[in-house]
Amino acid sequence: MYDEMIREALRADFEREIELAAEEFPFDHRFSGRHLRQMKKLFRLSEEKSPFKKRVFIAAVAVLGAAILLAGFCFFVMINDFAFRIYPDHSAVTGFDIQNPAENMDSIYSISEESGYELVSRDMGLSYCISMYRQDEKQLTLTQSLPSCSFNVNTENKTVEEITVNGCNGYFIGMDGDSLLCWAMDGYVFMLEGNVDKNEGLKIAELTVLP
Amino acid sequence: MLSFYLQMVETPEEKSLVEFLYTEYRQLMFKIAMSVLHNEYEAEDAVHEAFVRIIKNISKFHEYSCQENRAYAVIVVKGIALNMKNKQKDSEEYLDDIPDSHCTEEEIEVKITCEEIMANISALSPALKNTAYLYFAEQLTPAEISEMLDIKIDTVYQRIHRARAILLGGEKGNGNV
Repeated sequence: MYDEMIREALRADFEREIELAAEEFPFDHRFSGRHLRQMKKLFRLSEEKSPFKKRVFIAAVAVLGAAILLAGFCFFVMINDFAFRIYPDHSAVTGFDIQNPAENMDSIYSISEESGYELVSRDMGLSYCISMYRQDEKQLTLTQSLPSCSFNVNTENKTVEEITVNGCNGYFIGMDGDSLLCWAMDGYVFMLEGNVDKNEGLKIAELTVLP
Repeated sequence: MLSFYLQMVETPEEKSLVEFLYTEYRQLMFKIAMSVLHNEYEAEDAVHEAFVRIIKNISKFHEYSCQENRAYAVIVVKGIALNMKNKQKDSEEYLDDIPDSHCTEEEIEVKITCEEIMANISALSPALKNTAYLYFAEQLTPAEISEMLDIKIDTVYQRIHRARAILLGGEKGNGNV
Protein backbone atom coordinates (compact mmCIF):
# COMPACT_ATOMS: atom_id res chain seq x y z
CA MET A 1 0.00 0.00 0.00
CA TYR A 2 2.70 2.48 0.96
CA ASP A 3 4.85 1.43 -1.95
CA GLU A 4 2.04 2.50 -4.25
CA MET A 5 1.84 5.86 -2.54
CA ILE A 6 5.59 6.22 -2.71
CA ARG A 7 5.47 5.36 -6.39
CA GLU A 8 2.92 8.02 -7.18
CA ALA A 9 4.74 10.61 -5.11
CA LEU A 10 8.10 9.88 -6.73
CA ARG A 11 6.61 9.98 -10.22
CA ALA A 12 4.98 13.31 -9.55
CA ASP A 13 8.23 14.64 -8.11
CA PHE A 14 10.14 13.32 -11.14
CA GLU A 15 7.84 15.08 -13.60
CA ARG A 16 8.07 18.25 -11.56
CA GLU A 17 11.87 18.06 -11.64
CA ILE A 18 11.83 17.78 -15.42
CA GLU A 19 9.52 20.76 -15.66
CA LEU A 20 11.83 22.79 -13.44
CA ALA A 21 14.85 21.88 -15.58
CA ALA A 22 12.94 22.90 -18.72
CA GLU A 23 11.99 26.21 -17.10
CA GLU A 24 15.54 26.87 -15.94
CA PHE A 25 16.95 26.09 -19.41
CA PRO A 26 14.15 26.87 -21.86
CA PHE A 27 16.27 26.82 -25.01
CA ASP A 28 17.81 23.78 -26.65
CA HIS A 29 21.53 23.51 -26.17
CA ARG A 30 23.84 23.63 -29.12
CA PHE A 31 26.25 20.80 -28.42
CA SER A 32 29.92 21.54 -28.97
CA GLY A 33 31.95 19.99 -31.75
CA ARG A 34 33.95 18.12 -29.12
CA HIS A 35 30.82 16.46 -27.76
CA LEU A 36 29.49 15.63 -31.23
CA ARG A 37 32.81 14.05 -32.13
CA GLN A 38 32.73 12.01 -28.92
CA MET A 39 29.21 10.79 -29.67
CA LYS A 40 30.01 10.11 -33.29
CA LYS A 41 32.98 8.02 -32.22
CA LEU A 42 30.77 6.24 -29.70
CA PHE A 43 28.21 5.33 -32.33
CA ARG A 44 30.78 4.51 -34.99
CA LEU A 45 32.59 2.18 -32.66
CA SER A 46 29.30 0.38 -32.11
CA GLU A 47 29.09 -0.54 -35.76
CA GLU A 48 30.45 -3.94 -36.50
CA LYS A 49 33.23 -3.88 -39.06
CA SER A 50 33.81 -6.82 -41.32
CA PRO A 51 37.29 -8.15 -40.57
CA PHE A 52 37.63 -9.26 -44.17
CA LYS A 53 36.87 -5.82 -45.58
CA LYS A 54 39.29 -4.28 -43.14
CA ARG A 55 42.05 -6.64 -44.22
CA VAL A 56 41.35 -5.97 -47.89
CA PHE A 57 41.50 -2.23 -47.27
CA ILE A 58 44.79 -2.50 -45.38
CA ALA A 59 46.27 -4.70 -48.10
CA ALA A 60 45.20 -2.27 -50.82
CA VAL A 61 46.76 0.64 -48.97
CA ALA A 62 49.96 -1.35 -48.47
CA VAL A 63 50.17 -2.25 -52.18
CA LEU A 64 49.53 1.33 -53.21
CA GLY A 65 52.15 2.59 -50.81
CA ALA A 66 54.68 0.05 -52.05
CA ALA A 67 53.96 0.99 -55.64
CA ILE A 68 54.55 4.63 -54.89
CA LEU A 69 57.80 3.85 -53.10
CA LEU A 70 58.99 1.60 -55.88
CA ALA A 71 58.19 4.23 -58.44
CA GLY A 72 60.66 6.47 -56.69
CA PHE A 73 58.13 9.18 -56.17
CA CYS A 74 57.66 9.77 -59.86
CA PHE A 75 54.94 9.44 -62.46
CA PHE A 76 54.88 7.47 -65.67
CA VAL A 77 53.44 8.96 -68.84
CA MET A 78 53.40 7.47 -72.32
CA ILE A 79 53.74 9.94 -75.16
CA ASN A 80 53.94 8.58 -78.66
CA ASP A 81 55.98 5.43 -78.14
CA PHE A 82 58.13 7.15 -75.51
CA ALA A 83 57.93 6.42 -71.83
CA PHE A 84 58.43 9.46 -69.59
CA ARG A 85 59.36 8.86 -66.01
CA ILE A 86 58.54 12.31 -64.69
CA TYR A 87 60.43 13.66 -61.69
CA PRO A 88 59.99 17.10 -60.15
CA ASP A 89 62.66 18.78 -62.26
CA HIS A 90 63.28 16.43 -65.21
CA SER A 91 62.10 13.36 -67.03
CA ALA A 92 63.90 10.18 -67.93
CA VAL A 93 62.74 9.21 -71.41
CA THR A 94 63.12 5.85 -73.05
CA GLY A 95 61.73 4.43 -76.24
CA PHE A 96 58.85 2.07 -75.71
CA ASP A 97 57.78 -0.64 -78.09
CA ILE A 98 59.92 0.76 -80.96
CA GLN A 99 59.30 -1.16 -84.16
CA ASN A 100 62.28 -3.27 -85.25
CA PRO A 101 64.73 -1.78 -82.73
CA ALA A 102 68.27 -1.39 -83.92
CA GLU A 103 70.91 -3.40 -82.11
CA ASN A 104 74.03 -1.52 -83.20
CA MET A 105 75.14 1.84 -84.57
CA ASP A 106 76.12 0.62 -88.02
CA SER A 107 73.79 3.12 -89.73
CA ILE A 108 74.62 6.75 -88.91
CA TYR A 109 72.09 9.39 -89.89
CA SER A 110 72.89 13.02 -90.71
CA ILE A 111 71.08 16.28 -91.34
CA SER A 112 70.97 16.83 -95.08
CA GLU A 113 73.08 19.65 -96.51
CA GLU A 114 69.85 20.84 -98.03
CA SER A 115 69.02 22.23 -94.61
CA GLY A 116 71.90 24.68 -94.83
CA TYR A 117 73.48 23.36 -91.65
CA GLU A 118 77.08 22.25 -91.61
CA LEU A 119 78.42 19.32 -89.60
CA VAL A 120 80.89 20.68 -87.07
CA SER A 121 81.75 17.66 -84.95
CA ARG A 122 80.70 14.10 -84.25
CA ASP A 123 81.15 11.86 -81.24
CA MET A 124 80.33 8.17 -81.42
CA GLY A 125 79.83 5.43 -78.89
CA LEU A 126 78.64 1.86 -78.97
CA SER A 127 75.05 2.91 -78.48
CA TYR A 128 74.94 6.54 -79.60
CA CYS A 129 76.19 9.16 -82.07
CA ILE A 130 76.17 12.87 -81.25
CA SER A 131 76.53 15.25 -84.21
CA MET A 132 76.91 19.04 -83.90
CA TYR A 133 75.66 21.33 -86.70
CA ARG A 134 75.85 25.07 -87.23
CA GLN A 135 74.37 27.70 -89.44
CA ASP A 136 75.50 31.20 -88.65
CA GLU A 137 74.53 31.67 -85.04
CA LYS A 138 72.23 28.70 -84.96
CA GLN A 139 73.51 25.50 -83.42
CA LEU A 140 71.92 22.08 -83.52
CA THR A 141 72.75 18.81 -81.79
CA LEU A 142 71.49 15.61 -83.35
CA THR A 143 71.71 12.56 -81.12
CA GLN A 144 71.09 9.16 -82.61
CA SER A 145 70.88 6.24 -80.19
CA LEU A 146 69.71 2.73 -79.72
CA PRO A 147 66.17 2.47 -78.28
CA SER A 148 67.48 0.99 -75.03
CA CYS A 149 69.16 4.27 -74.11
CA SER A 150 67.48 6.63 -71.66
CA PHE A 151 67.60 10.43 -71.95
CA ASN A 152 67.25 12.92 -69.13
CA VAL A 153 65.17 15.80 -70.41
CA ASN A 154 64.34 19.04 -68.64
CA THR A 155 60.53 18.98 -68.40
CA GLU A 156 60.10 21.27 -65.41
CA ASN A 157 57.30 23.72 -66.17
CA LYS A 158 57.33 22.52 -69.76
CA THR A 159 54.64 21.20 -72.05
CA VAL A 160 55.34 18.04 -74.04
CA GLU A 161 53.64 17.90 -77.43
CA GLU A 162 53.16 14.96 -79.68
CA ILE A 163 54.69 15.34 -83.14
CA THR A 164 55.23 13.34 -86.28
CA VAL A 165 58.51 13.38 -88.20
CA ASN A 166 58.36 11.73 -91.61
CA GLY A 167 55.39 9.71 -90.38
CA CYS A 168 57.23 8.64 -87.27
CA ASN A 169 55.91 9.36 -83.77
CA GLY A 170 57.78 11.69 -81.49
CA TYR A 171 57.48 14.58 -79.07
CA PHE A 172 58.46 18.22 -78.87
CA ILE A 173 59.45 20.34 -75.89
CA GLY A 174 59.83 24.08 -76.18
CA MET A 175 62.47 25.66 -73.97
CA ASP A 176 62.64 29.48 -73.96
CA GLY A 177 63.21 29.87 -77.67
CA ASP A 178 65.06 26.60 -77.98
CA SER A 179 63.53 23.39 -79.23
CA LEU A 180 63.91 19.74 -78.40
CA LEU A 181 62.47 17.18 -80.74
CA CYS A 182 62.62 13.44 -80.29
CA TRP A 183 61.32 10.74 -82.57
CA ALA A 184 61.81 7.07 -83.40
CA MET A 185 62.74 6.12 -86.89
CA ASP A 186 64.15 3.03 -88.54
CA GLY A 187 64.74 1.37 -85.20
CA TYR A 188 66.70 4.27 -83.73
CA VAL A 189 65.79 7.11 -81.40
CA PHE A 190 66.71 10.61 -82.59
CA MET A 191 66.90 13.77 -80.55
CA LEU A 192 67.38 17.19 -82.11
CA GLU A 193 68.17 20.18 -79.86
CA GLY A 194 68.98 23.71 -80.87
CA ASN A 195 68.24 27.42 -80.72
CA VAL A 196 65.50 27.16 -83.34
CA ASP A 197 61.74 27.35 -83.12
CA LYS A 198 59.41 24.41 -83.47
CA ASN A 199 58.64 24.80 -87.17
CA GLU A 200 62.29 25.04 -88.17
CA GLY A 201 63.11 22.16 -85.90
CA LEU A 202 60.47 20.02 -87.58
CA LYS A 203 61.81 20.94 -91.06
CA ILE A 204 65.34 20.01 -90.06
CA ALA A 205 64.20 16.81 -88.36
CA GLU A 206 62.52 15.75 -91.55
CA LEU A 207 65.82 16.29 -93.39
CA THR A 208 67.55 13.74 -91.14
CA VAL A 209 68.53 11.02 -93.55
CA LEU A 210 70.84 8.11 -94.03
CA PRO A 211 73.55 9.38 -96.47
CA MET B 1 36.99 -0.47 -21.78
CA LEU B 2 34.73 1.63 -23.95
CA SER B 3 35.14 -0.71 -26.88
CA PHE B 4 34.25 -3.59 -24.56
CA TYR B 5 30.98 -1.90 -23.71
CA LEU B 6 30.25 -1.05 -27.29
CA GLN B 7 30.78 -4.61 -28.41
CA MET B 8 27.70 -5.37 -26.39
CA VAL B 9 25.64 -3.46 -28.97
CA GLU B 10 25.26 -6.25 -31.41
CA THR B 11 22.10 -5.91 -33.36
CA PRO B 12 21.17 -3.13 -35.75
CA GLU B 13 18.04 -2.58 -33.68
CA GLU B 14 20.07 -1.88 -30.57
CA LYS B 15 22.32 0.47 -32.46
CA SER B 16 19.41 2.41 -33.88
CA LEU B 17 17.81 2.44 -30.42
CA VAL B 18 20.91 4.05 -28.95
CA GLU B 19 20.89 6.70 -31.64
CA PHE B 20 17.18 7.23 -31.18
CA LEU B 21 17.62 7.69 -27.45
CA TYR B 22 20.36 10.22 -28.05
CA THR B 23 18.34 12.18 -30.58
CA GLU B 24 15.21 12.08 -28.44
CA TYR B 25 16.57 12.74 -24.98
CA ARG B 26 19.90 14.48 -25.27
CA GLN B 27 18.43 17.93 -24.68
CA LEU B 28 16.48 16.78 -21.64
CA MET B 29 19.50 14.93 -20.28
CA PHE B 30 21.68 17.97 -20.85
CA LYS B 31 19.27 20.20 -18.97
CA ILE B 32 19.08 17.79 -16.07
CA ALA B 33 22.88 17.63 -15.95
CA MET B 34 23.09 21.43 -16.17
CA SER B 35 20.67 21.81 -13.27
CA VAL B 36 23.19 19.86 -11.18
CA LEU B 37 26.52 20.97 -12.59
CA HIS B 38 25.81 24.47 -13.97
CA ASN B 39 28.64 23.97 -16.46
CA GLU B 40 28.02 23.29 -20.14
CA TYR B 41 31.15 21.26 -20.81
CA GLU B 42 30.68 19.11 -17.75
CA ALA B 43 27.02 18.65 -18.59
CA GLU B 44 27.99 17.46 -22.07
CA ASP B 45 30.47 15.06 -20.54
CA ALA B 46 27.75 13.77 -18.25
CA VAL B 47 25.50 13.14 -21.26
CA HIS B 48 28.32 11.31 -22.98
CA GLU B 49 29.04 9.17 -19.93
CA ALA B 50 25.35 8.47 -19.55
CA PHE B 51 25.24 7.03 -23.03
CA VAL B 52 28.26 4.88 -22.33
CA ARG B 53 26.27 3.42 -19.45
CA ILE B 54 23.10 3.19 -21.54
CA ILE B 55 24.99 1.24 -24.18
CA LYS B 56 26.28 -1.07 -21.47
CA ASN B 57 22.70 -1.80 -20.45
CA ILE B 58 21.01 -1.38 -23.80
CA SER B 59 19.39 -4.80 -23.70
CA LYS B 60 17.32 -3.67 -20.76
CA PHE B 61 15.94 -0.76 -22.70
CA HIS B 62 14.07 -3.12 -24.95
CA GLU B 63 11.87 -4.03 -22.05
CA TYR B 64 10.86 -0.50 -21.32
CA SER B 65 8.31 1.80 -22.79
CA CYS B 66 9.25 5.27 -24.00
CA GLN B 67 8.25 6.74 -20.65
CA GLU B 68 10.54 4.37 -18.86
CA ASN B 69 13.35 4.99 -21.32
CA ARG B 70 13.06 8.68 -20.60
CA ALA B 71 13.01 8.13 -16.87
CA TYR B 72 16.02 5.90 -16.97
CA ALA B 73 18.00 8.25 -19.20
CA VAL B 74 17.25 11.13 -16.81
CA ILE B 75 18.12 9.13 -13.72
CA VAL B 76 21.39 7.90 -15.19
CA VAL B 77 22.59 11.31 -16.28
CA LYS B 78 21.53 12.83 -12.99
CA GLY B 79 23.45 10.20 -11.07
CA ILE B 80 26.55 10.81 -13.17
CA ALA B 81 26.22 14.57 -12.76
CA LEU B 82 25.90 14.17 -9.00
CA ASN B 83 29.02 12.02 -8.89
CA MET B 84 30.91 14.59 -10.93
CA LYS B 85 29.76 17.32 -8.59
CA ASN B 86 30.74 15.32 -5.54
CA LYS B 87 34.18 14.69 -6.97
CA GLN B 88 34.63 18.39 -7.52
CA LYS B 89 33.86 19.00 -3.90
CA ASP B 90 36.31 16.27 -2.95
CA SER B 91 33.53 14.62 -1.08
CA GLU B 92 33.08 10.94 -1.47
CA GLU B 93 29.85 9.27 -2.11
CA TYR B 94 28.63 8.02 1.16
CA LEU B 95 27.87 4.71 -0.30
CA ASP B 96 29.16 2.49 2.37
CA ASP B 97 28.59 4.76 5.29
CA ILE B 98 24.87 4.43 5.39
CA PRO B 99 23.99 3.43 8.90
CA ASP B 100 21.77 0.50 9.15
CA SER B 101 18.36 1.77 9.82
CA HIS B 102 16.60 0.05 12.61
CA CYS B 103 13.30 1.00 11.23
CA THR B 104 11.31 -1.43 9.17
CA GLU B 105 8.08 -0.81 7.51
CA GLU B 106 6.34 -2.80 10.12
CA GLU B 107 7.81 -0.66 12.88
CA ILE B 108 6.81 2.61 11.25
CA GLU B 109 3.45 3.88 12.30
CA VAL B 110 0.94 3.33 9.55
CA LYS B 111 -0.66 6.73 9.68
CA ILE B 112 0.72 8.68 6.77
CA THR B 113 -0.89 10.28 3.76
CA CYS B 114 0.22 10.69 0.20
CA GLU B 115 0.67 14.40 0.75
CA GLU B 116 2.99 13.72 3.65
CA ILE B 117 5.01 11.35 1.53
CA MET B 118 5.24 14.06 -1.13
CA ALA B 119 6.53 16.45 1.48
CA ASN B 120 9.06 13.92 2.74
CA ILE B 121 10.53 13.57 -0.75
CA SER B 122 12.34 16.85 -0.23
CA ALA B 123 14.24 15.20 2.60
CA LEU B 124 15.71 12.65 0.21
CA SER B 125 19.17 13.30 -1.14
CA PRO B 126 19.45 13.22 -4.93
CA ALA B 127 21.19 9.84 -4.83
CA LEU B 128 18.50 8.36 -2.57
CA LYS B 129 15.79 9.82 -4.75
CA ASN B 130 17.35 8.31 -7.88
CA THR B 131 17.51 4.84 -6.38
CA ALA B 132 14.05 5.15 -4.84
CA TYR B 133 12.55 6.22 -8.16
CA LEU B 134 14.02 3.28 -10.01
CA TYR B 135 12.87 0.87 -7.32
CA PHE B 136 9.43 2.21 -6.43
CA ALA B 137 8.34 4.00 -9.61
CA GLU B 138 9.99 1.90 -12.30
CA GLN B 139 9.99 -1.26 -10.21
CA LEU B 140 13.45 -2.39 -11.14
CA THR B 141 15.13 -5.05 -9.07
CA PRO B 142 18.04 -4.07 -6.83
CA ALA B 143 20.35 -6.02 -9.11
CA GLU B 144 19.17 -4.06 -12.12
CA ILE B 145 19.52 -0.78 -10.25
CA SER B 146 23.01 -1.76 -9.16
CA GLU B 147 24.03 -2.41 -12.73
CA MET B 148 22.40 0.63 -14.20
CA LEU B 149 23.63 3.12 -11.67
CA ASP B 150 26.98 1.40 -11.38
CA ILE B 151 26.80 1.09 -7.61
CA LYS B 152 27.16 -1.82 -5.24
CA ILE B 153 24.07 -3.86 -4.69
CA ASP B 154 24.46 -3.53 -0.94
CA THR B 155 24.31 0.22 -1.42
CA VAL B 156 21.11 -0.19 -3.41
CA TYR B 157 19.49 -2.14 -0.61
CA GLN B 158 20.61 0.40 1.94
CA ARG B 159 19.31 3.30 -0.11
CA ILE B 160 15.95 1.65 -0.70
CA HIS B 161 15.60 0.93 2.96
CA ARG B 162 16.56 4.41 4.02
CA ALA B 163 14.46 6.10 1.37
CA ARG B 164 11.41 4.18 2.51
CA ALA B 165 12.09 5.12 6.09
CA ILE B 166 12.41 8.81 5.24
CA LEU B 167 9.38 8.86 2.99
CA LEU B 168 7.22 7.13 5.53
CA GLY B 169 8.36 9.54 8.15
CA GLY B 170 10.29 7.12 10.32
CA GLU B 171 13.64 8.86 9.81
CA LYS B 172 14.92 12.28 9.00
CA GLY B 173 17.03 12.77 5.94
CA ASN B 174 20.32 14.59 6.42
CA GLY B 175 20.99 15.55 2.81
CA ASN B 176 23.60 12.84 2.38
CA VAL B 177 23.16 9.44 0.89
